[in-house]
Amino acid sequence: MARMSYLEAAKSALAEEMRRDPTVWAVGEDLGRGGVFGQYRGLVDEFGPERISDAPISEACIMGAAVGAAMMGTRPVVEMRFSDFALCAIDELVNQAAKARYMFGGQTKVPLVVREPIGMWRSSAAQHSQSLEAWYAHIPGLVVVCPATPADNKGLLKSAIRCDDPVVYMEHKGLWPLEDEVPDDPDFLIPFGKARFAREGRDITIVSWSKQVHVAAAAAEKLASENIDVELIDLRTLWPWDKEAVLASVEKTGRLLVVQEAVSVAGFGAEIAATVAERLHSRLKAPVRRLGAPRIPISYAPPLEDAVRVTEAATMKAVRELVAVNS
Amino acid sequence: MAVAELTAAIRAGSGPRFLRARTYRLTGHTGADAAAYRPKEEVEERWKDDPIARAADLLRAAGVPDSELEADREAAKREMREAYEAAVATPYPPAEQAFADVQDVGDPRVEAF
Repeated sequence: MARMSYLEAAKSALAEEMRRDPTVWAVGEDLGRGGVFGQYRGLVDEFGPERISDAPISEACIMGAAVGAAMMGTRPVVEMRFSDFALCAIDELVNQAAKARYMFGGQTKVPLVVREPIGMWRSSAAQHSQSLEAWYAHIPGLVVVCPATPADNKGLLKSAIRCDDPVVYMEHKGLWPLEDEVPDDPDFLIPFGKARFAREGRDITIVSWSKQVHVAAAAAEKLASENIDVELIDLRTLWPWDKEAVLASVEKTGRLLVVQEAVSVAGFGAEIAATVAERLHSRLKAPVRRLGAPRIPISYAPPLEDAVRVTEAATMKAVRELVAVNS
Repeated sequence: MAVAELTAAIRAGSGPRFLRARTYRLTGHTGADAAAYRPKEEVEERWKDDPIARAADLLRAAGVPDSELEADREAAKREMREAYEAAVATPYPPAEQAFADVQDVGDPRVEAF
């Protein structure tokens, strides 16, 4: 174990995988100087500019080149800087990377990792703050990963690099400095589709992912002093998502609250809520509930930006309301 | 000629060069597109640049007899006809094939519901 940040954990994962497998390489804007957040700092010194590759400012070219390189047998890690910017490369990702294996009848695979940092931190405004994970969960062929902790950001990134499918890997910008213990086993791999139980409880199940898990955990901690026992599930990956863990938990608690930073409308929380309603209708003690952002752009001005955030207080209020039903 | 000059220069160390090539789509966008939005005269004029016809002219000028060109043309048509007939005669794949080769992780054969 070593204590390191969410950012450092991902950097060590990439470095380890590059040492292990000479076909792994990274490409994106400004990687040589460390990447926009410092996630690549120092890697060019060890691996050289052929494998930590600086690209011109064209997301479509970066993604298109990487898709071809993946089909030809290498394992590119593509850096898009912001999930918002990756929209310039969505044809290459959605129409090419996600479809190539199927359309070539299995004659090729696309072992590609696309790093798309998501989320709000402070005043990065409407084009640098979005959480677009649900878009990719909708696309057959893609794997979608949303790590919430430093250890997960190591074990999941290593799994993503070794995966033969195209993986959309969405780190949260607000989590870069978060520190925790991280395993240093070079084969520390976290499987996709296995949720993490951040907290066990009996009264209500909260399902969340990415940074919002920490808000929910803080809310659950305070609710414990009100004798409300929250079970908190960190999904880790949205496709595949751990239906078994969620269904087993809600079967036990009878109550479900899904908490997401993304816009609630047509967000991934809707998929979870619908699945639970379909499978466990007769077992529910209260209606399923979602908390997410209103369907408005994210502002630069802090008071307006705060109108989008799903807060600890809002989470606690929703939990109290759900627990009050049929208790 | 332009390509030969450019590649020679690049191999001699000139650095990257651009080749700007202008082309023309002789038929419609698809078999269903009669391309009525283009003047007939313009399209007829462009057919004179048909690269296949021009290649045949060059080969003729180089001494290849017409009979050989015609035999090549027939062989190419036959190959295409056979490929088409083979494709049409092949049955469609079974419906369960729709779920194959999507992805390993979160495979729809396991996850779809």
